[in-house]
Amino acid sequence: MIISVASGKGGTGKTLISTSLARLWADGNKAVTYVDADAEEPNGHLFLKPDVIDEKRFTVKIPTLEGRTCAAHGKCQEICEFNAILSAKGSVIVFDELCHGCGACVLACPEGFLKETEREIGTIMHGDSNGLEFYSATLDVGEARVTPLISGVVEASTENVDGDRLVVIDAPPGTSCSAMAAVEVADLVLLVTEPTPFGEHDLILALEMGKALGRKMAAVINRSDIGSDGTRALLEARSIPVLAEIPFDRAVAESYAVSRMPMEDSPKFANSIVKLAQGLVSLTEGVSP
Amino acid sequence: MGKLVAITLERTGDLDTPIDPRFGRAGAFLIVDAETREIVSTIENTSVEAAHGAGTGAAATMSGANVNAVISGRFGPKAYDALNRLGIQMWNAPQGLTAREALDKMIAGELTQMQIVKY
Repeated sequence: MIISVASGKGGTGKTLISTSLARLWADGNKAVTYVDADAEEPNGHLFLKPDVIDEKRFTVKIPTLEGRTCAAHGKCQEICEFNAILSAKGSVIVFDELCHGCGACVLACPEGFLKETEREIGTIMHGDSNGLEFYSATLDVGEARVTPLISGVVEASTENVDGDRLVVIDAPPGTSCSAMAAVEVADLVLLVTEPTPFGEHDLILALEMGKALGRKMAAVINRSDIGSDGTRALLEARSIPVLAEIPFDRAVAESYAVSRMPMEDSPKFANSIVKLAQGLVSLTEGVSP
Repeated sequence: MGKLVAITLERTGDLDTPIDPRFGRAGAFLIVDAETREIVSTIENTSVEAAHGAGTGAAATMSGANVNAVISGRFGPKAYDALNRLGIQMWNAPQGLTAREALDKMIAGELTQMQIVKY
């Protein structure tokens, strides 16, 4: 069972909710994998404090000419959707950070001169946090494209998952390719939102993303006792079940600010997570793994 | 034919059209023979809508048009890199000029040329 914890808006509490759920289930002797897919700013490790088992560098493919003199047909340049390769007087210019690694230029070169080489863009870490499988991806500083790395960590963490294991994917914010890479494999998408106009606005985008990807969705409203009611009305209108409402609690903020698990410091919050976990389990019963 | 110069324009036009201060997202390129000051062609910038890579796309257009130099307000880092490696000169023109004024200033040596840096 793969649950992706997503949101349109950033800062709604994806990592708070996903680390708490993963910890709760793991401590309840369930087989659990937590995946930090927010590779541009991963922070799940601050709370789950895993021991590193291994770290692997992650690569994408980019084209190179490999010492040949280019005949300058310009076919590579023409086919590239991202303006990442220029054909220039005996050579090609590749803009690594624009390249999506699709390989179209390699196929398009009439001389077959272009070859693909590996380029490192980040690291995938596999660890253990007291019996909980931990994965995270970290994009190298200066890299522009995170999506292949997110797909990489999702693949690495889900390839040998059996039916009973609960995989909790902590998705990046937003609704662009990077968020979709963390959501498209999910059996259920848990949207973390808040009752504010910003939360409501971005929730609309997130709901559209989930719908476009054909994912089953549920919501949790964080800081539920502040703000406005538009978010609730929206979820009701779209028939998205709200599995829990978590009121603002200063004890949670204080605990989280010093990298503790807020369930240990706020019984009220712990109860909310238990309720959310029960809601998720009952909602996913009957969903094939 | 003399040296070909591309001038970034706000929109498709002629020598009296205001220059566009942006290279990658310029409205159009006016290709002019710097000796005769005759217009060779105007090219609409197809890279203007690109999410990324507008600069490199526009540089590819310059390469295709066989220009020796480009006059614009500023060049982004990737456009700079691409034009540099394509061997195309880059000249900075102040905002508010027409294409004719910018060309005259370049010929009179009143524009600054961006340094070619090896890195």
